[in-house]
Amino acid sequence: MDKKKNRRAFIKSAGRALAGLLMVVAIPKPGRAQRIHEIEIGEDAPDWLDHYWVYLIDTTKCIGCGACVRADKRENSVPPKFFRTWVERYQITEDNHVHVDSPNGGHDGFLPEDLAQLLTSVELETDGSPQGIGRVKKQGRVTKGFFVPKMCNHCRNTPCTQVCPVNASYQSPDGVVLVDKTRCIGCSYCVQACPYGSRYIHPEKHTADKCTWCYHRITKGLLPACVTVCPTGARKFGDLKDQSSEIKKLLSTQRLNVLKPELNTEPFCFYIGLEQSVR
Amino acid sequence: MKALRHLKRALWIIAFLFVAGNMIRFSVVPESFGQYGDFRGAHLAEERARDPIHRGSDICGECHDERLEEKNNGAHGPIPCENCHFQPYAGDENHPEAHPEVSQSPDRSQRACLTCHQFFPSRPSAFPQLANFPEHIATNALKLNKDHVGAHTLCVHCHNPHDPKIDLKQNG
Repeated sequence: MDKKKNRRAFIKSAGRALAGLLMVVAIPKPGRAQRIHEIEIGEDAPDWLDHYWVYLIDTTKCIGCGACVRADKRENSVPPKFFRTWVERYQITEDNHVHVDSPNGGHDGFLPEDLAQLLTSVELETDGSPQGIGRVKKQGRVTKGFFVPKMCNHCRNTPCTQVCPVNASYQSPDGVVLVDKTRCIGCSYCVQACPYGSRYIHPEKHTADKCTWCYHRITKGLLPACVTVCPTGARKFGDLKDQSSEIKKLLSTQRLNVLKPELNTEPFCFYIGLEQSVR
Repeated sequence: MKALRHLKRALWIIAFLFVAGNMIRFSVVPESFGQYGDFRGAHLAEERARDPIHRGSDICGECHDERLEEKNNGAHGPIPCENCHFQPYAGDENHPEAHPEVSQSPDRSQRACLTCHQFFPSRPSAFPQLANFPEHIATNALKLNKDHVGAHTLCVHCHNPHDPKIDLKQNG
């Protein structure tokens, strides 16, 4: 009786151990074996993956008009109150207080309230300048100011894709961080992991959403929507593999900085004229 | 022979687990997973398949070539048509082939102009800006002998948005 029981117990545990071993050993790592498949490529160039994209923002040129934010909303149907790119206004006052604001992500520009009221009022009698401009409430006169457009930095050492439990978030071979919405489970780990706050959970799809550098445009030879609409050329985009490109020249001649370099995320969104107070 | 029977049973179990494990794997793991790395490779093509909405100024120039040339030669040259002529969800039956969001009639309000040209200390000083908008209207609109001076004076009453520069001497 005891002997039988022992044997049964042995077979049970041995079977379990075998099954466990099989799971680890016998099942090949997904992916490596399936490289033969080729994706159906659209109408144009077969070398659409043969790029290495890079983004450059010249903060000394940005006028804070918000055209990029509006274009991005149209191009990518970004839901209200969420932003794939936004513009921050920095105002530094006499007493070195840094005042940062971004009303509606800069979508409607930065017109102060009293001016907006002035424009809608019936009589334009006042001859004074609107009071809100050039001053920050309670902090006094602005001595230094600039606009900083922000977006996904498409880091090389990206924290957001590392935490994704289902490999829905990844970096494409041409250097763009994308989210596979059919795989995303909406756990929002990546939203918390991103030190730049450039991800959000889409309120209707309930999946992570972020800037794609307009992947549907750049792979067809167009520029991202925010770059095409920028009136002053503050936003630049290009291919690092293209030796003759404008961006290559700018990157090799200008004084560059990135956001939060101390985090070692290796952003591929570079800035010209970034002030130290920008975080 | 009895010992072999045990071995056979074990082999059957191994074979079953191998087949079942692989069946589960192939049904769960997407086909193109791992094509370019540890992600579903087909997603790149899906992401890429979307149609661009901003088509650039050249498309507008196919019909409105004079306007486009006027704009390109003026100070507003670098700005694509879409920046002003693009009102979301307006719809426009004159442009059936354009994207439904393209609108012929742009925002003509003062706000539309001041979004770029209102003075801010944060704006680069080289960019043309208006520090005092009401004063600008009061003085310059009078110089141009416009009837529009007052609350309803729009920037576009004097400035052609496609080529905004005004020669005051010539006009005044």
